[in-house]
Amino acid sequence: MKRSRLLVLVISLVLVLSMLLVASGCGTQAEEPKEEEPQASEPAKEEEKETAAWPQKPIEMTVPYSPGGGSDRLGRFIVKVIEQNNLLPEPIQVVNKPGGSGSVGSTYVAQNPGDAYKILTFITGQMTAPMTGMGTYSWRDFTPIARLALDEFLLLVHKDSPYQSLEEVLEAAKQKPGEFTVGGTALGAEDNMVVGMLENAAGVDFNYIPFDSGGEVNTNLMGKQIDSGIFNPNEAIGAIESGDFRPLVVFREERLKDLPDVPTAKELGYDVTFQMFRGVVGPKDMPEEAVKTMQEVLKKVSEDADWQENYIKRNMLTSAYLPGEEFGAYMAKIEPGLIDVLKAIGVYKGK
Amino acid sequence: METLQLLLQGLSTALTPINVLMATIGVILGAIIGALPGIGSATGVAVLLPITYGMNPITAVILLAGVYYGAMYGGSISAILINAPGDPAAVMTSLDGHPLAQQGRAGHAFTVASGSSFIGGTFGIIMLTFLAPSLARWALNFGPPEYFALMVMGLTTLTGLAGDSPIKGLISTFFGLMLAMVGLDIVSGVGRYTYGVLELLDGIDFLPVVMGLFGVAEVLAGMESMAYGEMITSKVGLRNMFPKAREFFSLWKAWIRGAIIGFAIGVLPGAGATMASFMAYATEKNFSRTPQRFGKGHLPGVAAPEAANNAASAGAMVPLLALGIPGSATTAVLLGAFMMYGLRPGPLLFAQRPDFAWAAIASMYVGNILLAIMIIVFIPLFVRVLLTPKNILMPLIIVITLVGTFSIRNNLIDVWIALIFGVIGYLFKKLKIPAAPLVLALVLGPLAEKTMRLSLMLSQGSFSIFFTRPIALVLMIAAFAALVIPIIIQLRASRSVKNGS
Amino acid sequence: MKKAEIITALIFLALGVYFITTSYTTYQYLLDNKPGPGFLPRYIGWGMVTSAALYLMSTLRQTSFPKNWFPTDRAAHLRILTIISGGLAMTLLLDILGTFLSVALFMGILTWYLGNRSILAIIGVAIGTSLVVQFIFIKWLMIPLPSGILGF
Repeated sequence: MKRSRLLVLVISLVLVLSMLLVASGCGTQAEEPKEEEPQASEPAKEEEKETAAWPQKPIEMTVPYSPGGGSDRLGRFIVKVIEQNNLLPEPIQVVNKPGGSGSVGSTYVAQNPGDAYKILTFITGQMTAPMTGMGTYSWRDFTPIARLALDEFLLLVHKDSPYQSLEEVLEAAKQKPGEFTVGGTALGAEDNMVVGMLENAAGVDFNYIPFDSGGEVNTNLMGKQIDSGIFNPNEAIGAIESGDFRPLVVFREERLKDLPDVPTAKELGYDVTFQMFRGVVGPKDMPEEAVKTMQEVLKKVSEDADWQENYIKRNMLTSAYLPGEEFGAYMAKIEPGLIDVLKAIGVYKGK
Repeated sequence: METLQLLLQGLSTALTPINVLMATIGVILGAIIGALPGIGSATGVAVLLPITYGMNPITAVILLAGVYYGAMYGGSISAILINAPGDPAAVMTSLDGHPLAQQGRAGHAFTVASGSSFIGGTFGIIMLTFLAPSLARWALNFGPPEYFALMVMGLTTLTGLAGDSPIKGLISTFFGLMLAMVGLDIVSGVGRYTYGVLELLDGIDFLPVVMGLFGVAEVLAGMESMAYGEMITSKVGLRNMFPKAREFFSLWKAWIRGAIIGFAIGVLPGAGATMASFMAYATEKNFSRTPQRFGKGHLPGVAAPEAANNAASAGAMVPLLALGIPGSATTAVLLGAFMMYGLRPGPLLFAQRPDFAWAAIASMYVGNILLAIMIIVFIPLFVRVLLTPKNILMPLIIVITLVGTFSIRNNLIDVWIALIFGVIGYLFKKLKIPAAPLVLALVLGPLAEKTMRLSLMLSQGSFSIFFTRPIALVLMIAAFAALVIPIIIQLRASRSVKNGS
Repeated sequence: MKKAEIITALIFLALGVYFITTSYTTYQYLLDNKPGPGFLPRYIGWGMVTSAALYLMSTLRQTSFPKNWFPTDRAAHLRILTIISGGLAMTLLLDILGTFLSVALFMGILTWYLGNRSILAIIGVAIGTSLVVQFIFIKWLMIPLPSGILGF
């Protein structure tokens, strides 16, 4: 794959140059590129077709967020593992279609029911987007292929902050309702939901500041512009290790293996657990065979050593492979809870 | 001294044959990607990521940094040749670069662009080398209020872009601000002026607008007459390729101003190279004794933004390397790449992996030199593009612009936007309404609104937050000065002309 | 030119008024005592109304206008219309004919229309451009340009 892309590049370069030269009347050099042209067919031959019926052409993986985000990383890592281990005879092409909290990309895939070659990275936020009025396709309009991982949420303060524990934070928030700032990524986003759940459980009112991305929350907490921030661990782990940020609580059933000193909200007496899932879905009525094959492939991906070490462990995720139907059942199970939280933070616009 | 030693070690890594080779490949690929309209460095790096699988992480990052860097140089190529900026940061380059090409001085424009890029980039890397950690800490003082003040300053420096008629400049600015209001409101979650179109929820991306206002509109204007412009009659011999040394070096002031502005803005996470080049251009025009020459093919109008956008791209590496915070879309992709190779960027990166951090920095020096040489070598080839018969070149520009526009978000709606703004841009041209303020307003508008509203959330609704914080206050004063000083200068100039005569 | 400038000013004036109206009717000006979604649109609307009014007044007062500000030549009008509608048609056809054919058609037809009568050049340019788009954008940069009903 790697070599064939480079080859294609060389050929296309030669083509462009020759076009420019021909166009500008430099006829003599036009012969040159033609000699190299036979190479064009090489990449196609290079990959031996396996006997499997699916896939017979490249698969398009839509990532409904911008390059550099968490979903982009998920998609590109999946492709990396698949390519390194030759798990599929055809390449997977990652396509970023950002917009509308993931709903632009989701809509694009949902509009192609029965297509066996369009898959989509899918996270909790895409499940809740239509509930907040963005996009019309619910998670039931997709074929669940596999859930791969669960991501956690941490509440962090700056190392110079006077607050040493969740209790102190909640106490401060009680003193001045609506003034204690918590930085997050967007109104109605997963982290906003966690904050909403904590507010409900503790009977406090935070001042949730919707920055655009985890990176911005990071900058602003580092610069002490906000009292606290809510993060996925991978967004802040560098700063936790260096001691710049102090983690106060994790919203999970058990403590994180890598941060054994950080208590869970449950231990502290607040029943708030929230994990966001990261998985892959296809459009409705995706052919059975494609779903099965892709499930197998993603299972192998989730067991790959490189994946476990450099994706799961490094991003502090929980590896949580669930194949198709179980993934669907999981979403059905968490749906009512999500709706309740969205209602509580006042962004629910469901039917 | 310790820094120098580490840098030398980094250089010895960066100068191994394989790494030089990869840096070369990286900058060439980057320059090509940058030259294609629409495809920015973020997409470029993301798309090229798979090529680096299986490489040694240092080599991989050297290649990717080369792509990032090369895109900044490449963006100016299409901006100068066909008035369709290849990279958002090159918008300002086209304002004077394309007129230069039309006057048969494309070679001069390229030389100045690559020379200024080299100087701006090198300045940025030197600052990055010696001051990264302290600069990164300084940049943290910028919270939402400071950013808002900065955006206001950006908008007031618009006076420098207004062209001949200030009223038309204002119309253009407010039209840009109106377009900037389209999209999801971050605080209430209401979709504003989207009329149910899902793709508009994230607002109108400014790149398709630029592609229309500049690239498509230029083609429409070119259709007025099928006769060739001066560009075709002028010679493309080697002698006419390069400007005179004196003319070239007289640009030093523009370089210094551009590089400093570019780097300072680049260091701030989120502001970026686009804004840096706008501000540098506006400042240059405000400082100039001959502001009326800008926009008609004035060399400082190419030098300042090019120096600025390259200094900014080096500056954007500061928060990434020093704090592990991505300051721009591209650095976010680079951050993802770091993690894919098992590196953990963060405040500890320099401490834990000095070999890696310093090799990456050192490779930027190497890449910068490679690029400057390459662009100069290829200038005669670029200029040949202008010799393409008009009946081929014009449709070709439309194809490349529209395909490039599609690739921004892989969405056809952007192509429609580019076509619509092509027509609007052509009418603007005819009515002599400047397009640059519209673009800047569209870039700054959403940021200004967001930072203003976040600030007021932080301050519980009190506007005093913009004037009680020292940096914000200074920036606000500077913003006011940027508005007033050019007017005073103009008044004085007109008075002294009167007195003199 | 005067007429065109007056029309332009009036269009922008209307846009400004529209923005001000929406900030009263559709989008809230204040939200919990903080600026809401209608806050900035109101000021931007007023700014636009003011500058459009200034534009209108200065145009009305202005006496001399540049001549030939718009090409008078009919052929030029046709060329401009053709290339922009060509671009529109190409975009519309992307989903039906696919990128390769749409681009080739656009290039071929326009090159011919703009006065190139060498069949070889037309075919060469049409296929050459499509190949470049195919290789650089679709194969190398992996940009999913639409493929038509024929599958490419």
